[in-house]
Amino acid sequence: MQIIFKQLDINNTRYFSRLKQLIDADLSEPYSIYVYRYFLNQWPELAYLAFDSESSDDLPIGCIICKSEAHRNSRMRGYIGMLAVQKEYRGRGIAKRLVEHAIDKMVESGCDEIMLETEVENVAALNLYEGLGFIRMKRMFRYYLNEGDAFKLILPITEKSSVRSTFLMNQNPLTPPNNLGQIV
Amino acid sequence: MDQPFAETHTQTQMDGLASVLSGLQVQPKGQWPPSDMLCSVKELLQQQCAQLNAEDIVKERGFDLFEGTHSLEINNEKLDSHLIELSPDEVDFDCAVAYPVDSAADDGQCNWQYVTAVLDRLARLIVTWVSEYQSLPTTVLSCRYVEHVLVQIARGKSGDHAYISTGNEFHDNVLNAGVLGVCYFGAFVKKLLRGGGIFEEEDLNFNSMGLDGFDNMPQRSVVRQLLASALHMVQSADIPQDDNRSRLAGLLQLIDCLVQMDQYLTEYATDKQPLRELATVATALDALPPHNYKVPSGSFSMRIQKTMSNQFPPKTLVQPASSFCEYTRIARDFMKVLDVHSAESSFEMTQFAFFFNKNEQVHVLARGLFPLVMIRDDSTFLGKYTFPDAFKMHLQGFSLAGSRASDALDSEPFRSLIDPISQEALSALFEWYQNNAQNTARYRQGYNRQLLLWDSVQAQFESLETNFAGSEEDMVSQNPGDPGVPLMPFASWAFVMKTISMIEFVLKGFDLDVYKPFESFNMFWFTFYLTQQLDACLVKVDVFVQSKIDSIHAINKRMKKQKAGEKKEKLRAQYHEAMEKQMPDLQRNKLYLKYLMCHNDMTKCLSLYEAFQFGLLKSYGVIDTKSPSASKFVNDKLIHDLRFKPFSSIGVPELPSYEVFQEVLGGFVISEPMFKSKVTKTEAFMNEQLKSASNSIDAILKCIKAKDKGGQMFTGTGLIAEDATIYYERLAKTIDSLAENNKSIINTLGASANAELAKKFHVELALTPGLSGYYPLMKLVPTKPRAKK
Repeated sequence: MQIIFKQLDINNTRYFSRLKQLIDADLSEPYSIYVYRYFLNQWPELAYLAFDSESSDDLPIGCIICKSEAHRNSRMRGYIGMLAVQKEYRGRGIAKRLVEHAIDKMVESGCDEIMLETEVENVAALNLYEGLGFIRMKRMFRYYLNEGDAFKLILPITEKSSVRSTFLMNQNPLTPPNNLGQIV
Repeated sequence: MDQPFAETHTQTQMDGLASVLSGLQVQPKGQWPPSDMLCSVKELLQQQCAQLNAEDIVKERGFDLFEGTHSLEINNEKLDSHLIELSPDEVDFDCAVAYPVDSAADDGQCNWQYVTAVLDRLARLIVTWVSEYQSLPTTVLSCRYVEHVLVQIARGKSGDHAYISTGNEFHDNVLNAGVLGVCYFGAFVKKLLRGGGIFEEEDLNFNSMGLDGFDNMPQRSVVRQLLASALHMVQSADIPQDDNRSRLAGLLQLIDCLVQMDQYLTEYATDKQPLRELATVATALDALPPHNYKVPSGSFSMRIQKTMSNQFPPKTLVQPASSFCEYTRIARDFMKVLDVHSAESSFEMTQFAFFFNKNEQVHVLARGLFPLVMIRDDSTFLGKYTFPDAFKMHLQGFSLAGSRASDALDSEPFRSLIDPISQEALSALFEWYQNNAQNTARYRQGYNRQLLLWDSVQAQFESLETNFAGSEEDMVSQNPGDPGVPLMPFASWAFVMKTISMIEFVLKGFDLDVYKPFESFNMFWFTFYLTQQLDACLVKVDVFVQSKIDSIHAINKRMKKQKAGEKKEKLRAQYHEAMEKQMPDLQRNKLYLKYLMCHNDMTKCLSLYEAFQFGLLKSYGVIDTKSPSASKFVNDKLIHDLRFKPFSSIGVPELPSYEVFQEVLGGFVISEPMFKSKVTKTEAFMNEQLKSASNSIDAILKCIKAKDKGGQMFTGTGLIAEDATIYYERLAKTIDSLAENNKSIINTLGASANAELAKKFHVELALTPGLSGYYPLMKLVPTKPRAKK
C-alpha cells in the first residue's frame, strides 16, 4: 500500500464531502460548513489530503486543514485547524506526514511560528506534535465542548516567535524570515 | 437593505443570480403580500446555483467569513437545534396544569409527590450546573417550570407572585416558591459572572436562552416569604409524616439557603448561618432513603433549546447529581471567602489571597465572590480601606515604613509625581488579587500578563525614585565599607511583586504539565536564579529596616547619656514618637521579611535540588536539555527562546541568554574519573538542600501553628491558617518523596554512566496527588521498545 499526498482541489466536491466526513467522525467539536469554508476557501493551498493508492474509490483517507495569517500585526502565524486519519489507517505515520507537508508549506509561505490546540487527554496528538518540535505554551481550562482542558502548542520557525507581540507591533509581519534556511 | 444577499465570491458566474436576488424586495414585517401575488423562484435559483463552482460563496458584502465560523448550520444535526426531536409529552407539557392530570394513568403519584420530584431534580441539576460545568439549558433551564416562571417575570407579572397557577395548592404554593427560589439563585449566579472574576463558558455556563426574567427578580424578602409559606404548608399538610415529607421540607429549606447567598454579594453580609444551614440541610437530604417519585412526563426537556433564542449547538440533557454533598463544599468555600472580611492588614489580605485557592481549586461561585468582596464598587478594599490607603498599606507593610519616601508621600512635588505611577501599580495589585481566584490554568496566564505590568511599574518607580532628592537618605549598605545602594521602597516593592510572579509563573507550569522533562533543568535553574535576585532585594530591605530599628534604639541610648535639660527632652520626644509611630511597623515588617526570606529560601533550595537532579540524570546520559525529537523542524535555541518569551522583555532580573543556560548546565553534570565519588558528593549536597528547605518549612509551620505569636517571624496567615498549613505540609511530604526518588535513581543507575542506560531508561515528570505540583519527581522509567504495525 502506498500513501499519496495531494493538496486539496477546492472544486472537487467529492473530496470536500469526504474531508468533512473524516473530521466530523472523530473530532469533539462540531464544525459548521462555515468553518470549512473559512479555512478551505481562503487557504486551499494549506489543506492536504492523503490517499491510499490501492483504494478503488479515490477518496482521501486522511486530511489536514490549516491557515496562515498575521498574528496581532506582529508575526506570521500558521495554524493547524484540523487533522484526521481514517481509523483503519492509523498508526502508520500518515498524520505525521500530513503535518510535515503542511508545515513545509507554511514555512515556505513565511510563517514565523505554527500553532494549534489539542486536548490534554489526546496523548497521540501530543506525541505527534511534540515529536515534531512543538512545545506546550499554556493550558486552557475546559477549552472544548466536551469539557476537556487543552494545551496550546507552538512550533517556533523564526526568532520572531520568541518576541512578545507588543514589541513586534507595527513591523511588517510579511517581512521574509531571517533564518528560514536553517529550518528547511 | 440595498442588496439582500448581494456579493458573490467569484463575481463572473454570479452576476445573474445577484441580479435576480437584488430585484427582490424585502417586505416590512406584517405587510407580506398575499400568496396569490407571490411566485416561486425555486427553479430560477436552481438554475443559477447550477452555474456555481464548488469554491463559490454567496454572501452579503459585510459578512466576514471568520464570523461565520461561530455560526450554527441549518440541517446539520450537530448544529441545528431546530432538528431536536421532542416527544408528544414534551410538546404538550403545560405548566398551568397540576399533575397528576389523570391519577389512574400517572403511576398513582399524588401532586405533592410530583412537586417533590421536580424540586429534588432541580436541586440536583443546580449541582451539575455550578459544580460539574454543565450548561444552564441542559440543567436548570431544561425544567419547563423554570422557563415558565422566568417568562412570567419577564412579562412583568408581579402582584401575588403566583407564576404557577393550576388550582392545586402544592403546585401553586410549594412548586411556585421552589422554582422561583431556584430562579433567584440563578440571578445571583448571573451577578457573580457579571462581576468579572470568573469567565463564562470556561468557569460557568450562563446561556440564559434570551430569558430576561433573571434580571427582574422580586425582592429577596418576597421570595423568602413565599418559601416560608410553602414550608409551613408542607409541614401542616395532610400528607404522611415520613421521610418524603422531610425531603420536600428539606428541599425548600435548601432553596431558601441558596436564595440567601445573594446577600454575600449585594450586601457584603458576613453571617455564615445560612451557609451552615445549607450544609446541614444537604447532609440531611443525603441521609434520607432514596425516593422513586417521577417528574411529570415532559417537564424536563430539550424543548427550550429548540424554541428559545439559542446560539449554541444542541446538547442532550445531563443526569442530575446523585448527591447533595456538593452543597456542603459550596457552603464551606463560601465561608472560607467570608473570612477575608476580618483582614486588618495588608499581610492578612495578601496571604489570604495567596493561599485560599492554592491547594485545590475552590468552588467557582466562591472564586467569583472573592474579588468582588475584596475590591469593591465603592472604591475600597473590603469596604474598609480606600484604594490609596490600601496601596499605601501594602507598601508600608514591606519597604516604605520608616523611609524618607514615606514622609514625603503626602508632600509636593513627590505626591504629584508618584500618583500616576501609583495608579498603575494599584491596577497591577487589583489584577494580582483577582488572579489568585482564577481557575488553575488561568492563574498561570494571569501572571504572564502581570509580569509586564509590574515591570513597567517598577521601571517608572525606579526612574522617579532615582531622581527624588530624598532617596539618597535611605541608603542600604549590606557590608561595612560597601558603598550604599538606595532603598527605593516603591521600586523594591514592585520588584518583589514581579519576581514572585515570575517564580509562580514558572513553577505553576510544572503543576499544569506544561513542560516536557527535557525543559525541566532550564525552568528550575531559572527559578533558582530568580530566588537569588529576590533574596538580594529582601536582604536589602531587611538591612534597611534593621538600621532604622537600630537608629531608634540609638536615640534612646543617646538620650540616656544626656544630662537633664532641653536636649534630653527633645531626644525623649523624638524617641517616643519613633517608638510609637515607626517601631511597630518596622518590627512587624522585620518579622514578615523573615517569613518571605524563609519561603524564598525553601523555593531556592528545592529548585536547586531539582536542577541537580536533572544534572545527575544527564550525567548518566538518560536526559538532556535538547529536545529528544529528531525532526527537521526542531531548533533547540528557538524552542528555548520561545519558552522564555514571557521574560524576554523584562529589564531586571535580566533573562540569561541561551548560551548562559547551556554553560550553567555544565556545572551540574559530572563525569569520569571518580564518577561514583562525585555522585556521592552530589547526593550529599542535594540532601543538604532538602534539609535546608525542610528547616524553612518547619519554621514557617511552627509560626503558623503558634498564630505568629512566637516572635520568630510573621506569616500573616491567621485568617487562612488551615490552607497555609496544608500548603507547607504538602511541600514537606514532597521533600521526602524527592529524597526517596533520588535514592532509587542512584540505586538503579549504579556506579557509572554508560551508553546503554540511555537506551534502557528515560525520564518522566511525575505529579503525585497529595504532593506539591511545583516540584515533580523526575522518575526514571524503563523504555519499552515501540511496537510496529
